This record gives sequence, structure tokens and C-alpha cells, in this order.
Amino acid sequence: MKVYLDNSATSWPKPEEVYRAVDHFARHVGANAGRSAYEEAIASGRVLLEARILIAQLIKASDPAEIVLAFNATDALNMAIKGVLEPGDHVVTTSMEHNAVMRPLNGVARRTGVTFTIVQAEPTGFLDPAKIAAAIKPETKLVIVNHISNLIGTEAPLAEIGKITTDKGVLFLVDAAQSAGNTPLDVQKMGIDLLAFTGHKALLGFQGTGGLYVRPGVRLKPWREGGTGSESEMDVQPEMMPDALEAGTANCHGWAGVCAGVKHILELGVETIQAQEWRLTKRLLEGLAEIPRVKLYGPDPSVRRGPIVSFNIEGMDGGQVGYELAETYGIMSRTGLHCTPHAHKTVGSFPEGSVRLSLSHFNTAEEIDYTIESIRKLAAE
Amino acid sequence: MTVITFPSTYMALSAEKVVKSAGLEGKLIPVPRKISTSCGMALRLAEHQLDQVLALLDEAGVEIEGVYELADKER
Ligand SMILES: Cc1ncc(COP(=O)(O)O)c(C=O)c1O
Repeated sequence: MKVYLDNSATSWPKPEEVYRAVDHFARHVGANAGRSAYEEAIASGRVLLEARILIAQLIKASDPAEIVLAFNATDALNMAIKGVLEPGDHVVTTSMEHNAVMRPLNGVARRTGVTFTIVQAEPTGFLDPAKIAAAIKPETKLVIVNHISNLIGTEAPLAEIGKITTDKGVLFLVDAAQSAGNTPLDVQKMGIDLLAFTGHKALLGFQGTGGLYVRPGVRLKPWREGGTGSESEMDVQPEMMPDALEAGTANCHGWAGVCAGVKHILELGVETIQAQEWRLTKRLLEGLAEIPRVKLYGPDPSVRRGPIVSFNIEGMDGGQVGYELAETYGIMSRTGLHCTPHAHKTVGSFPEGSVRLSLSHFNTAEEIDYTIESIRKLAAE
Repeated sequence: MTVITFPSTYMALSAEKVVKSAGLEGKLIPVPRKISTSCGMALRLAEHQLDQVLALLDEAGVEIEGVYELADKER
């Protein structure tokens, strides 16, 4: 049996429609978007427009022009962080962030004198909005929060934090790399100014797609400048959205896949996917909790979270556990630090790291039971 | 021939979608060389539908750059 439980790295399998859409684009459309006006080039442009429309619908953005297409969540986070911050600005972020936030932030801090405060989450991953409020200073420009922890799946209280940032006039950037597609999002109701997403995880598309929602009225310095197919006589980046933040050839076939993925999500409903994934995740948590020597990280198994579970087997190296799971049992996991050292410190698994199992709604109860049994055997060795 | 030009590709493609969804005629064509515009695509309309199209685009928040009447041989 082969069981893919590395969906937080990249989701697999994709819905059948996603494979078909990419194949169709590659064979029958092919052209670059936004550069010419023959039928195939226009069709390519329509794919990008459709991607914006569908993603806007998914995250409840008011206008598809607010959806900037980029190449992954990291690209979008760099665009937001480097596009917003000026020397002297202060940032509030959390101990649950991915290196896709921490490294650009430390980079601008070192280069331009931006300062930041890391708000500590509880060992369960719980983040107290009052601590965010308390960390905001007069010079705070931006608050950055990871929506769903890529280590333990816990969900940050976005609506409460958004209320605080809105009241204090501070920009709110959400890292939705692990949540867009499997957890309800409403950028307007949640007071979100900027939201980075990736196309290849819960949006069910392929690698090389991601993007940034930018609330109307929020201006970012362009991070990547170049050809847009518009205002070509000008030597400088256009100011109109989304061209202001997009440059270079888009991953058109990739976006054809994301369109099909998001349609699949909208047809099923995000809430349905979330409920389905939680049933499987809870089953896995409860099964693992009963195994002696297995240490689970994060809150009690009864607490709902994203489809992500981290554990260690006492006395065994995590890398070895991952290797045995793959070699002996055909279970694909991810071990190590998952690009998130601060979160490992928060939950108590630093520096050794953990074994992470991450699910999608395509997993089955049978696969979960097989995984629990396999880990039980491994822990009994 | 009536053509509308746009400030960006995004607006041109949005306009095409709005016009076609309303069941009207609209075809994206390369902008004729004599017109100076931000985006290389223009929307060609059926002449008698201009007012209707402009109203639809306005309602949908689609920004346009200009409207041109061209003799067919000019394109
Ligand atoms: C929380 C979080 N943020 C950002 C990223 C970066 O996403 P990407 O690899 O698509 O840039 C990931 C995943 O790797 C993640 O889990």
C-alpha cells in the first residue's frame, strides 16, 4: 500500500479535472497571456482572469483585480513584506511563522533597520489576540500571522486579530499557504489587508503558482518589475493593479490547473472539505494518542484543526521514523524542522524536529487506519 | 467599426467577459496601429451596441481608455 501524507508540502493526488485542464492547455492553447490578440493568446489571458475570479470568490475578495498572480506563497510573502515596509517601521508577528515570513522579515530588518516583535503562542499553538494587541506600538506598520500552522495544524483567530489591526490602523498580512482551499476565509469580514496563498497545496493545482490578495487602497512598492504587455512604451512599472505587481511570463498552464482545482473546491464547498479532513485527522490523532511511546504535538485530539499532525516516537530519530514509514510501509511523510524552527520551539520539538503527516480530502479512513497500525508496529520495535 | 481600448490586459479581458455574458457581440483584436493605447488588445463591437456596452462596462467597474470609430480598411 502507498499512502501519501505529505499534502502540506504539496497536495497529491490532484482532482482529475486538474490533470485534464493542464493537459488541455499544454496541447491546445499553449500561448502566453496578455501579449498578443490571436485566439490562443486571448484564451491564455482568459485563464488568468478566471483564476483571479475564482480565487476572489473563494476568499471573498470584492474585485478580481485585487488578486495578484505570483509563483508561490514565498514569492507573495516577499512581495507583501518588501512592498510595505520602510525604514523605521515595526512589525508584529508570531512564533508559529514559516521561514517564508521569518527570512524576508529578518532580511529587511538587517538591511533597512525595520524592527519586529515575535508574539509567543502557547505550546498548544494557541495564539492569544490580546498579546498581538499588546505588541502593537505607534510605529507598527504590519501584523503577520500564519493562518494554519504547517507544523500542528492549529488555526489562528484571524477575525479577532483583524478587528484589532483595523481598530489600530495597522496592515494585516495573513499567510494562508496551508489554509486557502481547506479552511473558510473571508478577507473582508476578517479585516485582512494582504493574504498570501499558494496554488499547489490545498488549492489543488501544481507547483509554480501562488499569489497575493491586496485590499483596494493598499499600495505596495513593486518587488518584481518587468514586462506586463501593457504600457509597453514606458520604462517604468505600470501603476494599475494587477500589472503593478506582476511582471514576466505567467505560469499559464499552471493557472489552468489552479482554476480546475478551485472549481472543484467551490463545487464541494470549503466547509465540506474541512469537515471531511477533520474526520480523518481526528481519527489519526485519536489512534496515535493510544500508542505508547508516541508523543503528539499540539492541542488535545478533540480540538479541531487543519489536516496536519506532528509526532515523535520516544527514543527514535524522526528521520529514521520517516524513512521506515516510507521504506517498510509505503507511507510518505515529512520529517525535520518543516521550515518552521520557531514553531518547533513553541511546541517543544526543537532541535530534534518531528514527523509530520498531512492529509487531504482524498485520503480514506482505510489509509488512516493503516497508518496508525504501521506506526504502532514501528513503535513496538 | 467601433473599438474600445483599455488601460490594461486585465480590463480588456474583463470587458470581453462582461460583453459576452450579456449576449452581446465583442471580439478582442490587436489595437490598430494608428491608436495609441496602454494595452495591445481592443474590443471590437457591433456599432449599434456601443451605448449598451459602455453602460454594462461602467456597471461592472471595467475601466476603458478610449472609443474609436474606424473605417473597415483602417484596421
Ligand atoms: C505556513 C507556510 N507558509 C509559506 C509556505 C511556502 O509556500 P511555497 O512553498 O508555496 O512558497 C509554506 C509551505 O511550504 C507554509 O507551510
